[in-house]
Amino acid sequence: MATTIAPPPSPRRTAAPPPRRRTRARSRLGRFWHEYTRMRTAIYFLIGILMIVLIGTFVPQEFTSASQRVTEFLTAHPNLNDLFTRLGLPLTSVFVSPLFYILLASLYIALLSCVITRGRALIVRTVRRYPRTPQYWGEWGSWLFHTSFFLLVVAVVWGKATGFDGIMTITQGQRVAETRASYDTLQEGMLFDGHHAGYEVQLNSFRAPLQANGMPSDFVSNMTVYSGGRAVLTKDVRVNDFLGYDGVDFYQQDYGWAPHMVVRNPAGEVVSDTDIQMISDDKTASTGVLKVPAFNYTLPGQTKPMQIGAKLVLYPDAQALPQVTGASNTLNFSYAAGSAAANNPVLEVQLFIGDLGIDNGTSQDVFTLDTGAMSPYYLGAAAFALPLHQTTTLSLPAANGGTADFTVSFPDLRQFSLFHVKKDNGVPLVYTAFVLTMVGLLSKLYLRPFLERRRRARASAPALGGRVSTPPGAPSAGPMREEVLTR
Amino acid sequence: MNGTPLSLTLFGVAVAFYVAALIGFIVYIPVRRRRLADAALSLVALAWPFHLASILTRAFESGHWPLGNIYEYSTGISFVVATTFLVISLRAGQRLIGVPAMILTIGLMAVAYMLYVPPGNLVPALHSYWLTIHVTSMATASGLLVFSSFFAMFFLARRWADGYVLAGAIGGGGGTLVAGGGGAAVMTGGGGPLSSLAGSLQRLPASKTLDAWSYRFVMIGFPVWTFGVMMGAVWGEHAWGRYWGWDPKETFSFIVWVIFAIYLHARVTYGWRETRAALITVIGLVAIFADLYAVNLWIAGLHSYARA
Ligand code: HEM
Repeated sequence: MATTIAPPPSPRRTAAPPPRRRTRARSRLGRFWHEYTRMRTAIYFLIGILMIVLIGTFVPQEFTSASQRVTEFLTAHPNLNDLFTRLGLPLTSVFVSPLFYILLASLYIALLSCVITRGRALIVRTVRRYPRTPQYWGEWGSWLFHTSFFLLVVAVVWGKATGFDGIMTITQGQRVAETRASYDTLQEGMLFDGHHAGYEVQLNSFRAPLQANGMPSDFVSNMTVYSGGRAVLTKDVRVNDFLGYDGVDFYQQDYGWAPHMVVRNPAGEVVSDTDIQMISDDKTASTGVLKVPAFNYTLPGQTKPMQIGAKLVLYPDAQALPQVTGASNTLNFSYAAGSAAANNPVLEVQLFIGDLGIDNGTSQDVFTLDTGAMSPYYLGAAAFALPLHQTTTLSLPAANGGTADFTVSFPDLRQFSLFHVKKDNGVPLVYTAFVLTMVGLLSKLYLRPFLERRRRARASAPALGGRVSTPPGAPSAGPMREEVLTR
Repeated sequence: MNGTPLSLTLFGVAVAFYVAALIGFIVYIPVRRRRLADAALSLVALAWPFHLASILTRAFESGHWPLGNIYEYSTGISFVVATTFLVISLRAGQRLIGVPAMILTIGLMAVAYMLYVPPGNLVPALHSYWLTIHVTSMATASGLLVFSSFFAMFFLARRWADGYVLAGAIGGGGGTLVAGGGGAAVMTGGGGPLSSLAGSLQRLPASKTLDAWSYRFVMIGFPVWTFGVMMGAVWGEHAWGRYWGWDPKETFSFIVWVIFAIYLHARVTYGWRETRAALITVIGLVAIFADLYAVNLWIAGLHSYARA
């Protein structure tokens, strides 16, 4: 540490000299430590961090960039990435790479030593009532500034470790509990005690008013929190205005269509009655998947009951394009996307029958349909159109050689809202660290020059009573008197 | 609204005055007439109210704080640069800094014009006073920090000029190679264009003074940048529920912050003072503009809607 004030000699260092070899090892270690904690070394650490972070802005990163761009990069530069991964710096995740953490830790260790020595020196000077020079106050500022980095790290790590972070989707009218099971994805911190808040939230309504250019001017979820069955809070949640209750915060992140679909089997039983979450980029056309594992009908000659599944495309504002096709029972219209408003909602349903592959243990996500053990209902996997409020009747072979009819209906089109939900008790502490950083930085940079200027003014003013011509904030490191830039 | 908005007309008037001022400052380098420099300065002072009026009318036309897209943001930074330049010239009598200051002001306004978007609504994510504070401090900090590199570049130039002239005095003008203060200077005999340049550059304030001014602008700009990055974190927490996510824009603002932190450390580290420190601010200048344009236009992230 390059410093103007040497720390007071520690008593241990002046104790009786130990045996020779240990001294040498010790002094080598001491030299290393001295070198390691110098400010020049800190500069190199900072440069190292800079380089890594720079890579992180230009190479697509796993958690912040589109996954397809990450894959593109990895397929384009496999060897480069391999090499860097071996060096502890996987290129597509530099911010969580071993090398990055090692550098950060090294910087923090050096900083810790620096903060401790300087803090001790400052305390000694305070206790011994050394004169309170401007320099002295500036050093407290610098000490506070550097120390607040530790508070920052503690706040970040503690907040993440004792909290959680997840994604939750709620459909219009639905009420869900803040419990583990309600999340689409959830990451709990290592020290999270496992207790979720348990209250319920209901999405009363969702609005995404469209502007003339077709883009939403805003998107708003009206939500009510129920605790113990009682409504305790109702609020419009939008980007920049989150819902916080009992330490858990809901942030509006995305939204989409959720067509309500009902399927009845040949026996007339309702075998599926759900809101299906659709995904899309621009909400004018979205895709989703219907799965009916318990269809409860067995085809003649089969032993296992059949299941049905469908790939769905939803056009909230379908534009019909007439098609000339001879075959009956297939699509006579094809559709193109219109606007994002629900002016003419139509579902295109591509139906499959067979085995959904759910019971054989392979994991299934709700957005993909594994058609490996299924066959298309229509030849060529054609789709049929199902406008809102309508029901389509379809037939299956029956045991008596006749047909058995089942129905698929689309009674309602809802919207779902997607929330980033998190608990992070570290946030107030992070903000505290911010405030301390600013206080320290401003004291370091301005208090000392300010006090020095006042002192100089006091020393020189009485006779003349005029202003000192030094511009404000002049560094006090050297004689900086005649720096007015008159040229 | 039909035709050219008033804000854009005012913008055009300001640019015209700035261009005239820049010509004045450039001519001032060889001509060395104080009155010329003062005339150029008056042109900047004349442009300034138009520039301000352009920003204010734009705010009325669009109905929001006028830093919501890259046109407005570039205009805002150029306004900080022009204002800072005016303050420096009026308080400290410095005129030559008008050359880089006007080049940057005009350059920023040219980019603003190329990326012009008519006044309009903001995307939902931008409705927040945290964002207003964040963007305003980032623009202010950018406009201030660039002056640290201007003075650093002048410092390097003055160093070189001093070394060149000193070498000329020692070498007696006879084709000798002499190491000067800022590097090696090759003597090509007296009176060449290089020595004329060195003579012009020696009209710059003493290198120590330039270095001090460079430091002063880091001292002013660095805390504002620090504050701006923190406000960005508060906004991120407020809007998305995370105060930091290594989004490209965040990452680059962190890079700029670290560069200037390195500068501050370099100043108090033996062997890193002055020349090396000066070079760091120049790297900082590049990083600020990479943050502003490269990240917005080529690297997509959560912040990239700021392009619209
Ligand atoms: C190993 C880590 C670090 C060490 C050993 C260290 C050490 C020091 C020392 C000794 C000073 C001189 C202070 C004084 O004269 O009172 C200083 C100043 C400073 N440091 Fe650090 N520092 C470290 C990390 C950082 C980091 C990460 C930052 C933030 C970006 C930072 C920002 C500053 C600033 C802004 C100053 C004030 C410069 C001035 O004197 O004007 N430091 N540091």
